[in-house]
Amino acid sequence: MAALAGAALAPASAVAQALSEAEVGAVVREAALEAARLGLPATIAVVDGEGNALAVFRMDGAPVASVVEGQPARPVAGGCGEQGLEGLALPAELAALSKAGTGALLSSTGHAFSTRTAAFVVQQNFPPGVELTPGGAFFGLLLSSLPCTDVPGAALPLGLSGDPGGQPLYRRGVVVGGVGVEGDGRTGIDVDPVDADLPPEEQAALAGARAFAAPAAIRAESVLLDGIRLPFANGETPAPASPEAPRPPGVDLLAPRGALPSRLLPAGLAAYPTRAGAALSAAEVARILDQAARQTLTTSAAIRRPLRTFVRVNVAVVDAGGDVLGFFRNEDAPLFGIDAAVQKARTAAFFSGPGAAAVLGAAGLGRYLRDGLPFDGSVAYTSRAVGFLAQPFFPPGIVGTEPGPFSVGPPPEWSPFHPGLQLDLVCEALAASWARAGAGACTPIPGLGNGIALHAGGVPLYKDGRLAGAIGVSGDGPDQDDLVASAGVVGFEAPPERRCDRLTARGVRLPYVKFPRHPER
Amino acid sequence: MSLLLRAAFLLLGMAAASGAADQFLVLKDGRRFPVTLMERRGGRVVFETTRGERFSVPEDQVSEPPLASLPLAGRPAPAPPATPRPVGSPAPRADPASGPGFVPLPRRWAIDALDRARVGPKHAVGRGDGVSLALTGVVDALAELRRLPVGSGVSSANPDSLEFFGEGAQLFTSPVALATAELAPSAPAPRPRAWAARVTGAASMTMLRAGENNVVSVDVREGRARRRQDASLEEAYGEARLFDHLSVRAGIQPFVSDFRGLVFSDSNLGLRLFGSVHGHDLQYNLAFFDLLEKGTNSGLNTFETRDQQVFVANAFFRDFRPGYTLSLSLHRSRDEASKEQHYDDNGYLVRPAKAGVPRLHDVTSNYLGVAGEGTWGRWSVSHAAYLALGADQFNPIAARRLEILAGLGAVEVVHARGNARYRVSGLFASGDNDVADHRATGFDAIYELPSFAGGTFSFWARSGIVLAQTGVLLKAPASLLPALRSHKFEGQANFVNPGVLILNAGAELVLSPKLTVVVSGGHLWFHQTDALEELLFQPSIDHSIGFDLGGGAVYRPLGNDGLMVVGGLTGLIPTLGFNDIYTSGCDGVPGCGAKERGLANAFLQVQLVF
Repeated sequence: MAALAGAALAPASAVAQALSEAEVGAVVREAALEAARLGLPATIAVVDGEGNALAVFRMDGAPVASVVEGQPARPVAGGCGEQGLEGLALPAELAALSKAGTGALLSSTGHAFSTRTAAFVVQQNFPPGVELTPGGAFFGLLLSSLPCTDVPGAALPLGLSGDPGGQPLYRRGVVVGGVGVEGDGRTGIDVDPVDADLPPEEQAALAGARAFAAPAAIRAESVLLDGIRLPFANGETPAPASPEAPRPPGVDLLAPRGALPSRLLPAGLAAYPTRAGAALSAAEVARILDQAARQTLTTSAAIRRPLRTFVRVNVAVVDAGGDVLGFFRNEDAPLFGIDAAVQKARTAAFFSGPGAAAVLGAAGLGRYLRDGLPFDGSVAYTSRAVGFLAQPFFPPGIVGTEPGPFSVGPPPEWSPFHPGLQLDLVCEALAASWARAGAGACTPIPGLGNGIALHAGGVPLYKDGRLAGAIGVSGDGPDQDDLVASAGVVGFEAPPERRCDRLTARGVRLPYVKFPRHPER
Repeated sequence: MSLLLRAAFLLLGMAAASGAADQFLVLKDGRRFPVTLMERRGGRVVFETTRGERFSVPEDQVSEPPLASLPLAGRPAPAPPATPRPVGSPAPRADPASGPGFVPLPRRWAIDALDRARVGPKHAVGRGDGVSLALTGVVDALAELRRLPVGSGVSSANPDSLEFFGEGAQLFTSPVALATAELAPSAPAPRPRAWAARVTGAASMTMLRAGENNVVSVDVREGRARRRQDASLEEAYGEARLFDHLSVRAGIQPFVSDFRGLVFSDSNLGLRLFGSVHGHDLQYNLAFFDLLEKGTNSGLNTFETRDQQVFVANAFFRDFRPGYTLSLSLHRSRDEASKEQHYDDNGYLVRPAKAGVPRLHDVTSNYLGVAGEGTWGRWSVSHAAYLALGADQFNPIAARRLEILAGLGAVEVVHARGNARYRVSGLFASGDNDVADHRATGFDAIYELPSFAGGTFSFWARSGIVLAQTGVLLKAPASLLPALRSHKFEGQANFVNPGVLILNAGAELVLSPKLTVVVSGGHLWFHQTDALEELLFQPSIDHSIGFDLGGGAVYRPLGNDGLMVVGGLTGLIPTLGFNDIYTSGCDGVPGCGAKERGLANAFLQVQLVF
């Protein structure tokens, strides 16, 4: 590994860039020293670029549990109950790992996102704090890349995190990992990501990332989504600790190690060779992937610097039962999108299928079947439409209205851990995972093995007027995802009269897909 | 809010001014002014309208009365100076009565300053006891059919709205009624009048029917039509003469800070000292306004404070050169919007603008200005130059504190020939060339109402155009500046903007005393596109905007302003830069691809004074 790291002329591959054991230790030490300086004993995690744990260090005095905000603390062994994840006291190292992994998985060579960025784009209003605006384009994103996923992509203990204190690590412009700091004993989401707060967790994570800081030109602050500048971190990177300062005392839950061989690329994706499904031939699956892939080359990315670079996405094709029939990934597409692409495809396929209402009812989720919306196969739903129905206000963003059909509405303060269809589907599996009570699929529903997605990019496929599967696209911008998915769908479109944009719920028209304003490069 | 109203005031002021309109001055081009004073001075005829404005024209342009009947200069001229509006102000005043969707609807009277000087009927009551009460009413109705670029939104009005842009057709109607009462000494002399008190109430109804959701309201459940009523006080002031040539006016009052309303033109709450020296060849104003908020849709004053103070000091040097008036001005605006968020009546965040980093911030701007207007024979020239300096505590687009350094220059030349007047206009407002630096170099005004470059008959001047995909306007209605504000009045001045270069030409043909026909055309360019590229996250936006074409007519069936009908058709034929923003080329995917479409605005306005 050391020999590779010294090969400066080697191609900028993940291997050549990989963190060494010493470097991982240095990241932990810097973060721990800053946390100690700020008086916040914390648990510090470092992951590699694919979210694999490289180090977990618990400083003496750090809280061992992190309680999901919203309810009084309760043990994870009790499961979700009626309160969703709120109040569950999960091991702090899992929260730290999710923060670290979020920094790594959300970022690419074209954009550097932190957990603060994640919190900014997933809330019920975008930008957060501006009332009456529709929800963030990545609403629902946090419940992806879950530990219970059946997709051989990246997986994080909580899924993605919106709690400040997770930063990506870069070397020579390439994502090599992430660092996460959990020390306040609470797992939440920064509901006001643009206030001037300086959470010690974030300061410590910035200190840890100092030697591997994201290039300024691609940090979230240089990305504007729908005219809104995204946040990366509050405050400046703290001054470096003295080189002689010893690492603060604590316990290595996982002693620092160098980056692992790539688990995902390219070998991991080989788990998804293009193949035939019940309705689609292998050639048809290949054609769909090819159409989507071609569209990426002419489509401008929404969250990537420099401007005019094309979108990098992950594309999954599933059959009507949710089995993956093929996968395509642009080089440098953000890795969170592997799981999310499959989620989106499965979401579109499931809700467009004939048995959705019956299956949800049988799973005890019948309370979400309301407002007269048919889920009997007569209507083609996209993941954008499902997310539209899952907003805590309906129509989206209009504060004070009733929750959308797939939401049970905002508690006093909205959180992604509050019950709702998306969370209810995966909640027990997630809690069991935290309780280390064994792994299973994320949901009890066949075909939804990794949960559902609530953001755009999942579109059902039809052949001869019958549902044949779905395509899911996840990468550099939800509207771009919709465009790439729609390009893939050409020749397999839903019959127009069955698209969900013919429907209204409470007088509000559902969307189908929505294209970017000026997508061409 | 009171673009409309301010103009209305001017009209009312004319109609209800305390001076008796017992004389008329008729020019050879057919214009006719009710005057209270006429005299010959140095080869020109100096006159004062019933509004109290003083103008001068070359003697050879006077048709009636015979020159010989006019006295030579000597008698001290009266006149409380309103803002002078010299003869030669060419184009009809802008009447941007529209906005795209959630945009506010400021509007203004579609009357040329001179036209406005024609007398309207009035009702004088109680004369004879030393005090007169003048009552005036105005009804103004506007209808506008237009097509503007509109996003199809989070929940579109129609199925198959996959494309970003939606149906842009809109029908806007807005009847407004104004009633003014003025109390003043009934004797026409001595002037300036010793005192006056004046109140104007306004009631407006605005109706907008749009092709898409999220145009009339942030809440799609409101659908595609909205109707709003507003009532307001557009004037409420008292005026007193302090010394022979110094008066004070306090309360809600109209004020235009220069010839063309390029920086500040409003009717708002303020205190104003005005006077003249040197036989009235120098007139000056010292004005302080603590602005009232405006109604989002009507543009009328509300009774809430805007937390913005405006100070204006200006001076007009009449006959600085024979036939030429020079004006120097200093403006200062302090926009204290850092206390709380402000949402407009339709539910959209306007302060701070929902753009970049929408953080509360104050903006302090100062303007140094030189302007002039003159007429020499058949030629008239109007020009203005402003330098803006100041600081934006936290500009949302740049996401940092910025020092303001921006400029505006404008020139208009008019040539009169027979019944026709030919106009050439040029305006340059500097743009911001680097969002990332610490300087804001895009020009924005305080609250402009420009009467320039086609005015009413210019699509660019009339229309409010949303900067698609963002929470700001590319340009506000009743403005020439692409200032990326969230709202014409409720929004804050923004000096990180593309700036604009406008070249425009037009002609005005007086076919009869009742009918005037106007045509106007030109091209527009952004000065710098960095701010647009940053905000839209889109590289290489071209500088060209498009061809702005318009034409129409002003018809006065009664031969005076008692009844006036203004109709016109304006349009924008977009070129590269505009198309970079408002079209897309994803042809391979069904339903994707916004084609280039011309933008248009057809309007009809009827106003009745009684």
